[in-house]
Amino acid sequence: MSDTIVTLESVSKSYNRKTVLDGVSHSFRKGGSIAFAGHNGCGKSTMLKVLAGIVRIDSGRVQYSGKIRFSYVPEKFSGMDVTMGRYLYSIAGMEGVEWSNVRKLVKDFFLEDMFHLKMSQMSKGSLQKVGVIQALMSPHDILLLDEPLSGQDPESQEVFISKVNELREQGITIFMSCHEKKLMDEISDQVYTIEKGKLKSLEGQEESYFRVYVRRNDNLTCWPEMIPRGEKYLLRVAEEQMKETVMKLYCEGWELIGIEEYI
Amino acid sequence: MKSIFSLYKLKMMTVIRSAVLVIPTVSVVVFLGVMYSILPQQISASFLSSGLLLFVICVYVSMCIQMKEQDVHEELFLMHSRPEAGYYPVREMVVCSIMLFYAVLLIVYPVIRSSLNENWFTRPLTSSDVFYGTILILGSGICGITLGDFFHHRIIPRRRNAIIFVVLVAVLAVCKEPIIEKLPGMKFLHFLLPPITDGFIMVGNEDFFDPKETMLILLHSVIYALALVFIKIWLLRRRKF
Repeated sequence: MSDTIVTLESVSKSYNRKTVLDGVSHSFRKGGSIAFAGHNGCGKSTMLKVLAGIVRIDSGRVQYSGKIRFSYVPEKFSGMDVTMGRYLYSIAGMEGVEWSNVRKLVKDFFLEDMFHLKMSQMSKGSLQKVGVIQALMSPHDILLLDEPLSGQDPESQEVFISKVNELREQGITIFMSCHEKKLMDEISDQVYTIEKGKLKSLEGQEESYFRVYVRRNDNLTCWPEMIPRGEKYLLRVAEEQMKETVMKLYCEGWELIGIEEYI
Repeated sequence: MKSIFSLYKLKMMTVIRSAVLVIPTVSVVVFLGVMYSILPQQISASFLSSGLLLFVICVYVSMCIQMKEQDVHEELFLMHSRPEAGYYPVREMVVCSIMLFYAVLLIVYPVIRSSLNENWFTRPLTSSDVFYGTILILGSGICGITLGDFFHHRIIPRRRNAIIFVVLVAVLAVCKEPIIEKLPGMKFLHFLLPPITDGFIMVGNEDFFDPKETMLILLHSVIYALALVFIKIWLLRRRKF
């Protein structure tokens, strides 16, 4: 399929004889936002690393649609013997990103006062934010988020969700491993779990549905099933309800921005 | 290129801010103080001993640096590097820079002191002595950095085993000549081990460097180091994280 960004073909991976992924085959769409849920150690992080090609798989194949670059928020972003400012400055240099953009991100995540603090002296939550900033400063084709909100304060979580949704609007594909239902609801189109090494959809959404993007005009009340996406809202609509839903949106005065079929 | 330079600066900064360079720096200072406490010295012996020390220091430094590397940061550096293939050479550039720093200390100190004190060496120091001595010191240095980095924690995950392997190779490299003399069947050790003592054999009882032999030792060192680097990079890329 032309809009497939990554395809896993019978991918298996085990650690110390424990099978984490067992012959997983699946195609992921470009521009999608996929969450992997499940208990600790079920293989969520391994799945992200397999997708990024940074761990060696035991068998199978990972195919990309062309040359793909990744941005990655690791689960455990550890400290280094340099200051946060120095670290981010170097990463910005590596990515060719304007320093002012990085400073803005640092401000958005409430880390301004920590520029000159050694990363090894930062708290877990603050370090995790640095991990998020290094990934968001120059997002590539695929954004990998491995439990990105762990240890972060609620305000920063909101900032994070809003930034990630902005990236989704730009067409960046997102893969995320997380436990927070709120995060899955606000960021992800599809949720999978990994059970006994197999990938399973949690929504049974292998059938097709439509994603409808709308913008709210004044004095309109949001529907409960609407998911905020920056200034827009997303609705998932089954094919048979499509006509009725669009009519209802039109009658209420919602501005229809786009509709895409999701298989 | 800017991407690679930024990574180089960050890695260099991390090494400088850590305690990795404390022991090597103290060792060099103590070595220079002790070595030149008895004067006059033989020119060839002083350069060759400095080369041997640089080899040990470089093994230590490169091993410490690779052991301090955290996989999570290395994964990120690899993703941020442009071109991606530039990531691995940067690691080599960092240890090479540190090697050069110590090499300069070990070369410049006796050169300056001998220019101030005529009795520093047993004979007047010539520019060719400095040139060939430098070549031998640098040859030992590059062998040291590649050897210490070869037993990377992604190639040999157990730190204890990696240390045992490095010490074994380093000790064998120092005493390979007597072993080969006793057991001629072990001549293959010449190719398996770095040529760090070949300079001593070349000089023998004389105090002059043979230009041809010196260049051959340098060539041997460079080929040995390049082979280790290429094998290591191939293994790291293959094994991933």
